[in-house]
Amino acid sequence: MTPTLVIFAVGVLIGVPVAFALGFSGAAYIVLSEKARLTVLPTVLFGGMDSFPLLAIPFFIMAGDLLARSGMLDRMIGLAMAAVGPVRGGLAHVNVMASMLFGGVTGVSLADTAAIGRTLVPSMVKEGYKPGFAAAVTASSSVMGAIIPPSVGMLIIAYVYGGSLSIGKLFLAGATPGILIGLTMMITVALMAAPRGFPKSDAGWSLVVILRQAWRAMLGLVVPVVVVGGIVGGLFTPTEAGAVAVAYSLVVGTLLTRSLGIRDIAASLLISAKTSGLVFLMLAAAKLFAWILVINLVPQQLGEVLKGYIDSPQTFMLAVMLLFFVFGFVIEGVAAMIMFIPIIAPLAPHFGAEPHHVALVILMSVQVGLFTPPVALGLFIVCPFAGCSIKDAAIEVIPFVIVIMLITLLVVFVPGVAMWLPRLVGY
Amino acid sequence: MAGLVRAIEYVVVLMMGVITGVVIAETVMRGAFGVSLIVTDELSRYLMVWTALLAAALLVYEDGHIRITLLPDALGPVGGRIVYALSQLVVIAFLVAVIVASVMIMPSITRQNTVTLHLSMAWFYAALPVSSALMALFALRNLIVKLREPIKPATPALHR
Repeated sequence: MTPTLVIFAVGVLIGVPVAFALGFSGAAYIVLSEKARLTVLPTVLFGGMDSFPLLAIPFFIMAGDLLARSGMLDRMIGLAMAAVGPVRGGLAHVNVMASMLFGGVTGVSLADTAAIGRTLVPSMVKEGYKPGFAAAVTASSSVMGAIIPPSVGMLIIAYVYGGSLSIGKLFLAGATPGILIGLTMMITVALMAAPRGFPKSDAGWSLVVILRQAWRAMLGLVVPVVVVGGIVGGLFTPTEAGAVAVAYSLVVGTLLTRSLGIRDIAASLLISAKTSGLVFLMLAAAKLFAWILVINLVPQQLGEVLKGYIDSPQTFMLAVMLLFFVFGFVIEGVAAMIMFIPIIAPLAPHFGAEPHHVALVILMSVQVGLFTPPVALGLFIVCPFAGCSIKDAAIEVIPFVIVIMLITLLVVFVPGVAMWLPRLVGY
Repeated sequence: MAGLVRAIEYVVVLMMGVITGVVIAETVMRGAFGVSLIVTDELSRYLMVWTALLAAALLVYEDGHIRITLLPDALGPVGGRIVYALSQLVVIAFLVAVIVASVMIMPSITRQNTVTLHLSMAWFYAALPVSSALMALFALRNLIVKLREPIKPATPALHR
């Protein structure tokens, strides 16, 4: 067992892609231990990818991408502009609120980062915001995409967890913390606005404009209601909900906004296939690795060791939160979840932690890494649009890191914040 | 090589489109008329394995799989190159293992039939050796391209 872990760790360190490091060390274990024949390799890998529930992943990626291409993000920005544009620091508020609204359309973080980077960020810089701040607020607010339902991250967690989690319950649990992150980020912007001299536009409020923009954005705003409502109401499975979302976005994009062409659809199919390829390969390889951990009783032994230090669900969750915060910091959220949930998940019952609650805390914790160097995928996407260095933006993200950490801590210590909604509908 | 990549892209887009169409049709049929297309489940699952693996091969070509580059980046141009070569060799070694193991089990897989599609499972298991071979080819290509690059001192990003 130990050589397998060493091979894995060395592989990841020298830059072997995570999926292949998992697969290689798994194959090495099979050869070295002689506990199984190498011929289990294709069976386990194929089995790790052959799953109807997993199809929800490409569908939700596609639906979010198609709706963004249909101009739905622009309509969200329009609504946010009408609602919060007139206050001091208006564009920064619009940036956060548009990500919050679009979070209900997309299932992934960073889906809106490039688009907002292209549209809002240059205007922010022109109005006098520091480029680093414009980049930081864009990258950090886009993490709501993965927390507000629908969420591809939650689909991945549910699969790695081994099918014992309810997608409907997880989706509902993410809604309140996701919205709280958005609101707290807006409060943070409001607190900075006066001391940092954020610009204020001359535009005033108009209820008519707000309602008109809300009507235009309605096509996108109904997506989370239909998707989550359909799953929770037992109307369709998550995979079917994903297919419905794709069908809906095709109708919206081709017939209503008429902004989707055949090239857009092909590009969307390719993007969702590639993102799924990335995730599926890691999931399949992780299946092999998880199987090796289980037959060697690693989770049990780890549980015994930890029992000496952890005495309540809260301490367990706090440990999980810090662990995944660090993992997300140095690895990358999805890879970190796929690698370490198979070890963490079996431990949760030992400490009386509710699995959906744990899953949500893990998802929220890894998000921070999306905008903190060294990984900071979000900053790498948005900084070119802002014309700043990663270093400039890295200082500006600190308040937003604190926001996400605080909301995650709130979810850890006051589970009701997340779980009231699933409880309300009877989960 | 670019032509091969383009061809894979077309196949991936086509298969992803078929999967999406089939599942949408199934969902609508079931929701509206209470009828189920029997083949949907198997067809979409198995096609997705092909799609995901071929797309994963495209990502190997683009060097797009998630990896940690802290150490390679810190080692400088020569050390980074050695470590990169080593990492690509690990990738290729794993892929060769998958190909060998897949070929070994093919005879028994060929005898298995899918439940609703009336096709041999071999058609779908073939996704593993075929895409592994493509991935190994792309990894080898990336390795050769990298090793042929002239070594020059790293320029700071700002001056590029």
